[in-house]
Amino acid sequence: MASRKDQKEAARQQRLAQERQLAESARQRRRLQMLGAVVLAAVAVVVVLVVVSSGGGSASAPKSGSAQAKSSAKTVTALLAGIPQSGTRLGSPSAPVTVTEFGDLECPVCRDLALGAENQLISSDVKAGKVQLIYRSLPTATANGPDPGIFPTQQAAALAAGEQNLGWNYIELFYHEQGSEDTAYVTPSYLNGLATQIPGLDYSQWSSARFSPTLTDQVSKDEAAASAAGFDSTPTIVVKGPKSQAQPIVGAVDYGTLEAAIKSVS
Amino acid sequence: MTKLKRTMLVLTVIGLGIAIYLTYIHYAGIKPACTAGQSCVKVQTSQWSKVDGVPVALLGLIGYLGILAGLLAPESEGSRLATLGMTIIGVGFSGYLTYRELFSIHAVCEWCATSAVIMTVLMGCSIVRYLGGPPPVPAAPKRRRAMSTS
Repeated sequence: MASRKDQKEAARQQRLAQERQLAESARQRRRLQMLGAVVLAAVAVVVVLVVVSSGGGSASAPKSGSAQAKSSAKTVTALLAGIPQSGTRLGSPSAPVTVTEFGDLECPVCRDLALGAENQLISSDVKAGKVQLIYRSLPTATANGPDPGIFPTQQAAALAAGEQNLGWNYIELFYHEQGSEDTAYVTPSYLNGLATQIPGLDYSQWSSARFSPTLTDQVSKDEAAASAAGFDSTPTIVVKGPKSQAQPIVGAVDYGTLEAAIKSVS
Repeated sequence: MTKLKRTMLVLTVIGLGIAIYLTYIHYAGIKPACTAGQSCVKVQTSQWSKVDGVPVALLGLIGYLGILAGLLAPESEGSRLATLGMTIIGVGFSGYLTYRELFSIHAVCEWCATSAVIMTVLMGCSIVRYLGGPPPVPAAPKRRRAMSTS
């Protein structure tokens, strides 16, 4: 028979075990509550990231005549004012350095480049006559989008504006008003709307020129040239100067990267 | 250091390496090495490759650095919970990007997919580490009082 002391010790041990068990279950409950709170907070952060990420391109392009379209047209006109243009070349033909961009007008990274480093390049180096900028076509985002067949038509629309020496106005406006790459926003009315926003463009001349087979042939030649050079992504930028040609640059790089390449070939 | 934590550290370092590489190629203007043709380039040049102008590769790099810091911090419930929170965010955003790859871009970037898998395993390990972690060490004075009354 257990002594009274032993009984007391056994009861004490039992009590301690119960306390430990209660403490453990309370701790697990608290941990699960904390886990729930962290999951909720994390979901909130992810939702914010998703919402901001989805805002990368407008679901639909701005309508011609809207305040946004007017503002884009004003910005583009001011950027290109006084710079000579011919076809898809922007800048003086005697500029020592040629920067060729292989782009897709629906490509969001081309848009980032256009609105960032390229605009800086235009307002400084191109305007100063040091660099001439040439645009060539390479399907990427459009080819993966909902309407791949629109590529030659949209690129030829810019080339048609180029026949009136306003090609870069069209290219820049397209990028400024670009829609989301997973929507089929490039329609005849979108392309026509861009043309109507370009001051000095003869709309009827542009309208008949844009279906010219010569222009769609030019788009195909650009694609073939890109393929021959091994380019498969946009924007791909080729910098060529009197000394040499720099390694092709891919993506929406910053102005410093373009400047370094220009310096290396000058 | 437990086996679980060592595994997490190794995975985090691999994920960090991928994020550093993708951030580097983004800013250097070069194409990513890719065995699946143009898939990586398609993903890297899509509109979902940035969040408000910040490359997702850079966000990933920051995330992995945060997880690494959480793992290297002194063991506590707080550090384990913080690590778990970061991995849940990582899995959530990786999941969204994978959805975009499959249904919007129609191309899968192998670097991104590897990172998504690493992040998912890290989240699983973090849950086990948090829920199965040791109880917090009681404060020293309380322990002395408890001993003296027994």
